[in-house]
Amino acid sequence: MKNSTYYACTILAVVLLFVVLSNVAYAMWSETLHVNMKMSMGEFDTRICCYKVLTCCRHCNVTSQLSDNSKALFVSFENLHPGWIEWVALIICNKGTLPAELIGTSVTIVEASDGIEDHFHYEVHYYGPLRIHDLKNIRCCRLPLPFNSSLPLQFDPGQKVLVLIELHIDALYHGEGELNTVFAIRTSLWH
Amino acid sequence: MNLKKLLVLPIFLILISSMSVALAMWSETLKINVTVNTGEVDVEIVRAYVDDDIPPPTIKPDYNGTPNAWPNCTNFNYTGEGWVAVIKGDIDFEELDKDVAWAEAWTEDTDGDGDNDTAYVKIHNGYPGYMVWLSLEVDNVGTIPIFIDYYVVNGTTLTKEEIEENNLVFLDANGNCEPEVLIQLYNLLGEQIDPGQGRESSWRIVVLQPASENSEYVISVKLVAVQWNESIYYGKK
Repeated sequence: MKNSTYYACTILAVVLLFVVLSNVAYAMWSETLHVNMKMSMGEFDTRICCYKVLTCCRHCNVTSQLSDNSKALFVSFENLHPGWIEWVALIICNKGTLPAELIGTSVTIVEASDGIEDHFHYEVHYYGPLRIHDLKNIRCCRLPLPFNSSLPLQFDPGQKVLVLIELHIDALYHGEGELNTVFAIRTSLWH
Repeated sequence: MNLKKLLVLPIFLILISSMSVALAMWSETLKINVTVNTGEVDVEIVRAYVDDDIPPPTIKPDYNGTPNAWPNCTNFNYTGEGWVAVIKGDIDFEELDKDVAWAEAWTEDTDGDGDNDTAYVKIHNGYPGYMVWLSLEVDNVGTIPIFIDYYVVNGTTLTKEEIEENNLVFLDANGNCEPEVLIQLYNLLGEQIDPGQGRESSWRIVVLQPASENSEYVISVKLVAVQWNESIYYGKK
């Protein structure tokens, strides 16, 4: 009994000595400096803010609809004819806080009468950046406009780009039945 | 009363008094008073500067940075403050043609001891690729030499050896192995800074492609300074 008490006391003393010495060893002085960084990202927001389908075809029916996010335009043409020409004018706005770069426009046929795809052609003309507000003065007979821009086309926040798309069907097309098409027009942008 | 008993008391008194005389020797005590005035470990961020600190538009365009190495999922560790990957690599950069984003840096005394202990950096209107340089100047304003032992980036502790080997620190806020921000750290570690002296270090901060629009990313870097003789670098060359 006496021996066990003696050993317990010895162990306790050694542990205490170690703890005391350890505390001394780690009692170094220190100071911490802080660097706090906060990064607020900008917004990339480009959209079709205005469009107009310019038709010279009196018997053709045209309906158009802009997608909910204003990133795509769907245009439907009915009762077309060989040699048909239409123009679609778009204003692309940069409503974000970062510059954007227009790198292209895709025109795809969503739905069409049989065999029309091979005879359908389009050409895109770009103008800008501009401070144009609407398309009131754009008329079918005066297109395309002179002084077009080449891609890629940069435009800063608040600036706009005018895109004119000429759609046409070969005059030599000899298909049968009605000629109807639905086009989807999307612009490709980069920042 | 017995006579013998009466004699014992005076004899005892005489004996006591004679002993007192024997102990009444002259003496003087010398005292040594030791006063220990301890020094102070105190460091200050005397300057935090970013190279793009004027809001646009200016004639100074932004820089675009691209890391030449990219971490994979196994490189990331969760630290409680986000996912951090530290890998080897460098940043290729080029001047852009526009001034779009900007940054500001300032220092503050958060503990009220009269020294600026915290630097703040804020990037405004950031976008993927935007790169900014942050320059930090740290002075030893205490009375004891110090070493800066560690950087602690969002909870990840980095030593001099680790920084020399791998200095691209990728920070992923949401744990999808797609880091949004990168810091390239340069050394302020392992060099003794004597009282009155200072060191400067320049870091690069890059916004990476997975960063989201209209979002905010926060990074915290701590610099741990310790007294020189208990630094992990003490005695190392």
